[in-house]
Amino acid sequence: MPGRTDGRAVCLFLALVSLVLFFAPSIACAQQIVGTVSQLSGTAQIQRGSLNVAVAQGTAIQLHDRLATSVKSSATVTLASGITLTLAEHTNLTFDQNVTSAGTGPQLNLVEGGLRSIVPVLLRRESFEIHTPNAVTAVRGTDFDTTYTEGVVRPGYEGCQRYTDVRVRAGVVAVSNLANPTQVVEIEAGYETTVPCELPPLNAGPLGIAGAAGPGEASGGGGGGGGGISAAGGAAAAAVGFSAPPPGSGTSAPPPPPPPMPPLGTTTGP
Amino acid sequence: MASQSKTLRTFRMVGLLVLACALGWTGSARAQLLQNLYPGFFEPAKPQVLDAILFGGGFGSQDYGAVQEGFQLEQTVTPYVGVVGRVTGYQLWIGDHFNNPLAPSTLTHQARLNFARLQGGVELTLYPGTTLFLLGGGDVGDSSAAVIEGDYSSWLFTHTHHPINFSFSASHDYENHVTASEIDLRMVAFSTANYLGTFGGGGAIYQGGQISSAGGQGGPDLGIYFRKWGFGVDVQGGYGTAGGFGQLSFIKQFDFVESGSF
Repeated sequence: MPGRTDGRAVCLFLALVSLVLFFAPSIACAQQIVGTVSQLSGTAQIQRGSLNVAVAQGTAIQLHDRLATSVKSSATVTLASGITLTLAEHTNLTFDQNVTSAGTGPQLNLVEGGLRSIVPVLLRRESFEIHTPNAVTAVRGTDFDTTYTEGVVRPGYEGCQRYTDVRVRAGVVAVSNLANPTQVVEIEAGYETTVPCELPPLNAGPLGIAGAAGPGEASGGGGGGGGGISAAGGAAAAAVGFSAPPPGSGTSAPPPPPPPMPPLGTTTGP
Repeated sequence: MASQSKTLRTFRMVGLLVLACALGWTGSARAQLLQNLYPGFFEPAKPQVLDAILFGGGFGSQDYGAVQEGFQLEQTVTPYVGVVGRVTGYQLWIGDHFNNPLAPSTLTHQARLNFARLQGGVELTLYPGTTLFLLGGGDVGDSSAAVIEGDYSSWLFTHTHHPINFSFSASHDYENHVTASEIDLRMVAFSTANYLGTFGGGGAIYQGGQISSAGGQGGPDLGIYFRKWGFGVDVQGGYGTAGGFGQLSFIKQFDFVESGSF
């Protein structure tokens, strides 16, 4: 009888060891470091499970972390793959997929705010996606901004309160609505688009003119065509380097040329 | 008789009801339309932005030359209304063959008029990409005129690769009673992360006061805007009442956004 008990204990032990060995990779995966915070201005926090971790320069980002920047803050994350992400103020980003695995392709979820992504040239053959609650931006190596805005109504969209704005500095970004992923609009460098609510992305328009908001201007940027334009036109856009000429003037100086004042002592025009 | 009167009253009541419903619906529809066009009309703009624009340029023609320089401040109030202040200095030369728009004084002529124009007013965003400046003010220096001005600009076809900007400007000088207007139509030729290039054409027309018959000039223009530096240059040439002319203008934008970004 004692021999049978010992055998059962050994079996139990082996089963436990097997279980540990079986789950070990996923435990390791859960703690997998996907990148580090390389720059921080202001304050940011990481939500890791039920823990809140204060962010400092050099803080490691783990898979499934949620990184949030505060007001008047920005943070730059360098992923293990070499991709650089700069979060604007009041931005909320989760690293839900295995962003370090070249095989599956990185995927980030932008829950709120604005994000600039720079993909090194060498990685431009990889698939890289940023999801927002209503859009997907699929990237094949580029420098671009993604901004998600919620709770703001923009003129001309009949009450829609959810917008994903994409502005491309280099490369090409394929943008689609999650509700209709087959209707894809490709945005080239120097252009921008907006994905309103469940509608397909608008056609591309020049940066600063088509009305897309940029990071740090989540209430809508300047320009025309649908963004929550400010009275100062492209001013907010200019602050992030994507300005258009003042709406009142094309590219010329604001005032018209001097009025044709007649020469003193003459009766004809200039 | 009584039944006829009752029927008539019923008809009137029904008619009034229909009218009230129609008015009510119209009011509701109108409110909805306004809400769609101008959501949050009375709310303060977020973020608040102070925009400072330096500008300058020169105009040279066979009959006269002019140099202008100044700055403009724009402050948001609501998403659709802003306040604007503008100070412009003008130097005007009368003579022949001012073919260097930036330095007409290098020739043998003296400045005939040298004055500053101080203007203030509102900027209205009628629709995204469409703005209207309404300005009033006066001159100091060689001119002491009161002036009013309206500047309208609209970006059309914004979700294409080549949007079109239409702008129209009109001002009236209460001293020489000249009304001047300028119209411009330009198209985005190319857009990159750093540059925006435009081309188009435009012209000016003026009449009133001592100018008995309308005069003006017009021609093609080219512009380039450097996004990174907020700097734009525009050149125009053409022909008009004052003979052949050339014009060069530039702007430099400075933006101060209330909330930070990167």
